Amino acid sequence: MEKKLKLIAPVRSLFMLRQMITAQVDEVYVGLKPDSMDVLSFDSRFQQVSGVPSQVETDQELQEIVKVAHAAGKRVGLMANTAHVPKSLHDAFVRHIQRGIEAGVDSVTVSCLNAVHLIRGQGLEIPIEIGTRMAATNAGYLHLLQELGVTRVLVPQGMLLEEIRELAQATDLELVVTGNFGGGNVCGHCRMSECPTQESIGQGCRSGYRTLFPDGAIQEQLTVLDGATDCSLCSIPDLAAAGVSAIKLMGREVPNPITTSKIAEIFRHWMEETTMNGRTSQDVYEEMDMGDMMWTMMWKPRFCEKQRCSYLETHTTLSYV
Amino acid sequence: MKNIELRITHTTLPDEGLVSSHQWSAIVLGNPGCVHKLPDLATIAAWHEVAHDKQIELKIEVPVLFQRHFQSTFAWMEGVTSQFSDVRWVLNDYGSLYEWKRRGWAKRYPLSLGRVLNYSFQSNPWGHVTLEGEPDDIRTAMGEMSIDNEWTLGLLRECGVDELEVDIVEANLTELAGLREQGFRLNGLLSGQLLAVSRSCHAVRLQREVTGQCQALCDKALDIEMVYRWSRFEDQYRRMDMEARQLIPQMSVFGNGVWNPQEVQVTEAILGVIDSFAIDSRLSSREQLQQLVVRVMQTEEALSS
Repeated sequence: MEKKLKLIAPVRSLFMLRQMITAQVDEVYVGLKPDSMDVLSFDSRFQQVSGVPSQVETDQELQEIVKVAHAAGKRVGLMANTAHVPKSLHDAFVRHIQRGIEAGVDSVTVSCLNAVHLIRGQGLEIPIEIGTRMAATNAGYLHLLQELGVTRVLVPQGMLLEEIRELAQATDLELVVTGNFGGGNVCGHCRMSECPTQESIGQGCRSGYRTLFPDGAIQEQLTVLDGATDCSLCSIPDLAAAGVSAIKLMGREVPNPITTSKIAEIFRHWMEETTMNGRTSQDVYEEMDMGDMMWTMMWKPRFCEKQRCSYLETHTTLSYV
Repeated sequence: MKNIELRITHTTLPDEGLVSSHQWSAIVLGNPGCVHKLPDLATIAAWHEVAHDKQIELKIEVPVLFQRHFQSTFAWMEGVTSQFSDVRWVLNDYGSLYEWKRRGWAKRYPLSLGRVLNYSFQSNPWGHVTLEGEPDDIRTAMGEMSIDNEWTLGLLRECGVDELEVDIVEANLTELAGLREQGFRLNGLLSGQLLAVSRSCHAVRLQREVTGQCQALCDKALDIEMVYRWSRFEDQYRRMDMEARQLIPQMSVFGNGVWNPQEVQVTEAILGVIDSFAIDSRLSSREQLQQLVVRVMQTEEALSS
């Protein structure tokens, strides 16, 4: 029997947590502002994204978030998913994890193998989960991670449904997929992140480029690296059937947490209707077509009409190597 | 003379003149990003013969493997190794390294670590701008390389890795020398730097071709210049200011790989640390390629005199 699909949502403040509790998410995750850095962090977000903070600011606030989340029956995961922990920052990284553990978080998400070793090497007993920036694209990775004592893996964006099914069959690890938004290159194998100190430089994969073609033709504005996908709603029942245990939403850094909680609510409804009440995605889509799908972040024109579907056959997914 | 290897990363690229234009130390087939550019057995056999005649090494670089290609690629590798056990392999993801070890291939066949797994903040072409917001100690730390830690190096040794493909970054030379002292040979690409690998092939997507039937698509570059920033919350494009645009190098897209084609200027310090250089025949024109070789040789001569 399929297990109930869980919904995991981003949080950066008590206010955002309360919105997510209202949206009936199952778990939340947070980043924590590091002691030692001014711009970067130990997770996959800069401290500010387009002027909006991405992390919980203080240990006290994190403790409060954990307390309120636990009282509502929600697990709290700490993101420590930097793709690289430099040697000189090993101690600082371990201290960062300890801060989260002392605040009461239930798990830590990392995205480099050495981080797993650092946490276990210090005897820190906390479930370790793997983020997308590990880019665990094949069963070999999952076997390695299972040996290292990891409990859960966030499958990289840009994976096919049949691949996720194979991965689920190849391992006992819990598999999670990203519900919304992705990268145009493989996150973890891309060195083109946006630049918080230079507002004008955005994500490399989503930027617009003046493009010179081999025949000499020039196109002035082309999203040439945008191989990203942004939505998995219609594939929720297929993902559940493939063995996915949870869907994780992006958006710790959104300007308006209420919007993200509304998205969580849409995912929750879709998950319940399709995986528990036996309705089809088409049916749920039609129900929400001119309401939520139209007016929440302009979802329909922005994602549906542009075929930004993560697990359906589109021009982007047909171009997968 | 410094070892320089020739990378023939695409099936449409080989030509006899190129191969005989220099006493290369190795011929390298394959690439870091796309499984569809791997050579078939007949092609490998032909190159193996060339390498054997010239008494040089033949390497095959296996790209980042997605699950769809994982087992079939290892089955293909098994076929290759059964016929050509002296081929050196280059792997680019930890899942492949794990499978390599699980099959008992560690130290049985020569193995190098590819450049995809080896990076630092220095690998981001505008990373130095980001780091301007950090104190000096964090800037220095962020320049350290991802693989340079005891545990990861131990894992690589267990898998039989004895050569590391590295970005040639002046700021990392001390760290690179340290890796060399720990027994790893270092191979640095002169023709540019890999910036990203994608799942959705940019060339196929843009030119509306069919994946797998795309051999001629990615032997030529799409040259790109970043001009517009995407504002994620407004879902709009904004033209970048000129100051920001000047911080971004022109980049080249080959298939599902994005490269910074800026060539490395070989210095005495670099010659002292890097064991072998690589030149990618796809990143450099024939003339540029020859100039790169000449520059390495001239620097060596200047050093020895």
